[in-house]
Amino acid sequence: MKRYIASRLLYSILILFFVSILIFTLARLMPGDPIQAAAMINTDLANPEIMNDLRAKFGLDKPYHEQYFLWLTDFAKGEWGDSLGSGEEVLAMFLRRLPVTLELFIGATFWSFIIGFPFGIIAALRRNSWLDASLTTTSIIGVSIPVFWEGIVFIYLFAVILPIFPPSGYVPFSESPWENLLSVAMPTFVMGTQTAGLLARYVRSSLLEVLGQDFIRTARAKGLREKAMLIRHAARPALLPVVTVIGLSWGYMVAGSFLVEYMFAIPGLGRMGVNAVFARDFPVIQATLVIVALNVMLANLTVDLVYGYLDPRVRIH
Amino acid sequence: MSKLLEVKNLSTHFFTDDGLVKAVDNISYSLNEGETLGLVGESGCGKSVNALSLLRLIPNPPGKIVSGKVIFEDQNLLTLSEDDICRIRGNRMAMIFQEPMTSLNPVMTIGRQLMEPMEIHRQMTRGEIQERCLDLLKRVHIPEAPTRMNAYPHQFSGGMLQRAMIAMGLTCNPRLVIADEPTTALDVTIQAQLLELMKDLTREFGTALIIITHNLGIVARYADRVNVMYAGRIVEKSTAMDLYKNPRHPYTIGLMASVPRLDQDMKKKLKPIEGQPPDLIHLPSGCSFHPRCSYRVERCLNETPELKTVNENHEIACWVDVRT
Ligand SMILES: Nc1ncnc2c1ncn2[C@@H]1O[C@H](COP(=O)(O)OP(=O)(O)O)[C@@H](O)[C@H]1O
Ligand SMILES: [Mg+2]
Repeated sequence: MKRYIASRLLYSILILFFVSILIFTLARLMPGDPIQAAAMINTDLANPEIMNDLRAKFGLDKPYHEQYFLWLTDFAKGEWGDSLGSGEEVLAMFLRRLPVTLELFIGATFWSFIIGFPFGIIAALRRNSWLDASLTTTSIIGVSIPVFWEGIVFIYLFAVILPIFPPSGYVPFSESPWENLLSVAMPTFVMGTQTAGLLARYVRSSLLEVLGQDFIRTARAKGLREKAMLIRHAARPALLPVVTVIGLSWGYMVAGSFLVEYMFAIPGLGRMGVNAVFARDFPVIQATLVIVALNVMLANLTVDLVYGYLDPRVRIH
Repeated sequence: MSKLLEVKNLSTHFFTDDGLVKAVDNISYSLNEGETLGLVGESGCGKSVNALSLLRLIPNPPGKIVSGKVIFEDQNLLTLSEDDICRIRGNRMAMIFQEPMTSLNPVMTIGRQLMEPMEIHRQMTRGEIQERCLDLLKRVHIPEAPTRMNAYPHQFSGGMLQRAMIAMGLTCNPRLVIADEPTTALDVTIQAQLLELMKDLTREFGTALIIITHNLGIVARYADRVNVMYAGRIVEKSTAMDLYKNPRHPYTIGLMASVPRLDQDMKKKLKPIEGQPPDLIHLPSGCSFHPRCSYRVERCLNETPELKTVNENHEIACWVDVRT
């Protein structure tokens, strides 16, 4: 297991290295240079002197390879630069918004689990019944419904027609736990819908496949009752492909959080990223890209480790 | 000897999209305590379905036991509640499956899988169960049993897995063990070792055994009695000795000619039965074997022969007497 973990970590670091080069290059591909691009939107900066100061500050006047290593070491030290718009430190902005987005992620994962797993399991156990058909149809709708459309419908239904939830905004948990939950209920549900549908589909097919395997018949032949057989023999192998899907959707959820935070006016990382793109605030854009990449990498690493834990064929040779 | 198992008019059908498959069609046989029965026939003739039906392990849908009785230790298994049949499975009647590689759970240690039947059926402490499992692993000649208990199936060879399966089948000291082609996936020397082992252990514990195989040689050597199956039906039923000396059904005769026999000149050429086993959805009329039979007469095309006694301990389902 130790060797397996070490190899996975090494792999992640390697990927991160390539991604960092990619992100660095992307930021330099903006028309003119990042400062000029920002100045086209933010007229406060449209002054050659200020622009040159900024270029020097971000090291944009140095050769590319020097710029890259400067950026990398600064980033690792936590010196992520200042926002071109507000002048605030990017790291501080990030840390302030991180808990908000994390709450959305946890909430969305919660919804997708409590819907996806039961749907998938029941559909598999009642295969080809009307219940299976309706659960599967619901899951497909969940997968294919566009996030923004679902968001608008939910706001209309549950904030306008039936005013249960606030239509937008965010209340921190520390301020009022109850209002916090009310404010994130709809956004997290909308964010988790796709994953829920995806999970239901994968849990169903994975469980069905496992139930058709020879070792399930062996388990039954030993005298295990149906429930014990499912828990002891079917659950773990059926979970393997599902873990991969959960990891993938953690990566995708970033896209969901961008949309959802924008729609519901939630001050999280997604909103920060979107605003930065509109303002061409390149230090913030760069940081956002790195965070997105880190999130994907972390999700993949977690998947690999959980997979190794669940499947002895992966960790023991 | 007292009767342990009696199968009466058992029929198991599969309702598939392509049509009705009568995988087991009205078969009857019985087995005494401690006896070994061989179940022989070409692939696809319904041997496994027959075995799975006894323990009600037929996947439904598409399969269903449509009629018959399976009297085991004086109760009809086919009418038991789900709870009660679970008490029989792995406890009074155990099964050893064909493919050791796929029949064991890949993400569970051998030890846990081995201990499971006793955990289900016996009120014993973990320590006692572990002790018995270690003992059984030694009995099936698995070296370094204590470390092997913590290994996973992919760390075992095919032969070792099948040994572990045999041990698993015997843990609760069942009255009947069904071994469904237990050695087909293994090479010949290991096959012989395992069959000897199984025979020794069942003899020692007084366990009755049903050996399923398509190899008549195995049957002759290890079984007391033999049922020959063709297309879902039993076509010949006899003591192993009598069957070997005087095969009476043309199909059995064909099978004999197609496997090597120890008591015959090794140079004699093996002759496979001509033609293919029938498609169970579109069975030939009359006797299902007639298209491949060199003894066939007019009657074979129209009427299905039932089993009839030809002498004490020997029954065949055939219209002709091959000895004339
Ligand atoms: N799950 C199933 N669904 C449909 N048909 C089946 C199924 N299992 C077995 N059969 C059919 O039953 C027949 C007998 O199969 P089986 O008992 O496995 O043969 P064998 O004698 O080789 O063990 C085969 O023709 C097979 O097509
Ligand atoms: Mg078979």
